[in-house]
Amino acid sequence: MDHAAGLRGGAIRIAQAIHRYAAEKGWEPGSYLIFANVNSAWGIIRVGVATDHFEKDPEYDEISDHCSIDLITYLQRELEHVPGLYESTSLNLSTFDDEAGLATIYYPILGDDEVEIDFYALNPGVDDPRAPIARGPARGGN
Amino acid sequence: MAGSSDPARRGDLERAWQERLEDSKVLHDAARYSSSIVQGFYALEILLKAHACRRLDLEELHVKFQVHDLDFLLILTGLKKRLWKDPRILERWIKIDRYKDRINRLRYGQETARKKECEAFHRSLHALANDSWKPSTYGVLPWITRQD
Repeated sequence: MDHAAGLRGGAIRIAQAIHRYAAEKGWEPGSYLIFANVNSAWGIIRVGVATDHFEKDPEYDEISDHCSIDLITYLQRELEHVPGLYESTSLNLSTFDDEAGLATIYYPILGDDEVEIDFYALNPGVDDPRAPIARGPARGGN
Repeated sequence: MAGSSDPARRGDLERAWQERLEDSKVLHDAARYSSSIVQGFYALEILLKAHACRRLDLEELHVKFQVHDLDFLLILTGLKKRLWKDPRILERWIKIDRYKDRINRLRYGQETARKKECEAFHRSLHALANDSWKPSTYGVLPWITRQD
C-alpha cells in the first residue's frame, strides 16, 4: 500500500471514529458532515467536522471548549491503538452558522501534494451540500 | 522570514515572534482586529520556526522550514505528539490553526474580523485581551515556550 493510500485509509478510520462518537451523542446522519484531505509529502490527514451540535461559548462566539475537548478525548481513545494516526491528524471544527470556518472546511486551499478525500466515502448516504464552485488560489502568495 | 532568500537567524526569530505578538496586542487595542489576528498568527509561525531551530540546534532557518503551514512547522518542532496528549492545548491549537486558509483573506481585506473573534483568537493564542492581557490558561504560545 503506498503512502497516499495509507493516509486515505487513516482518514476513513478517523471518519468512522467520528461516526461512532456521533452515534453515542445521538446525532442524526446528515446533521453533521465530515471532510478530509491528505498531504502525502508531510503525512498529514486534515479532518473537518461541521455540525450545529457543537455548543457555542457566547462570550467568544466560538465552539465551547468542553465540546472540542470531548471529541478530542474520544478520538484519542479510539485512535491510540493505531500507531502514528492521531499524531498525523489535524482537526478543524465548525458550526454551520460560522461562514468563515465553514468555508475553510468546505473549500480548503489545497497544495500540490494535497488531495481531498471523497465526501461520500466519509459520509455514506449523505448528500454533499457544497455548490460546485471554483477553488481559491494555491497556498503561498506574498 | 518565510519566502526570504536570506535565511533568518535563530536569534532574529526569537526576537521577531515577540515583536509580532506585541504588534498584535497594539493592533487589538487600536480596534484593528483583522490585522491583530494576522500579526498574532505570524507570531506563532515564527515561534514554531525558532523552536524548530532550537530543537535541531540550527543557527539559521533551513530552507525547508520556510513554509507558512502551522501543521508542517509543528512536525518540525517535534511537538505534534505532545500536543495531542494534552486535549486542552490541542483544543486551543485547533482554534488557531483554522485560520491558516483565512489569514490571507484577512490580510488583504477580503474578510474582516470582529472584536469578539479577535479576543477569542488571543485567548487561544496567549492572553485575555478583554482583561488587561492577563495570560490565558492553556494558551498555545506559552505552552510552546515551556517545551524543551
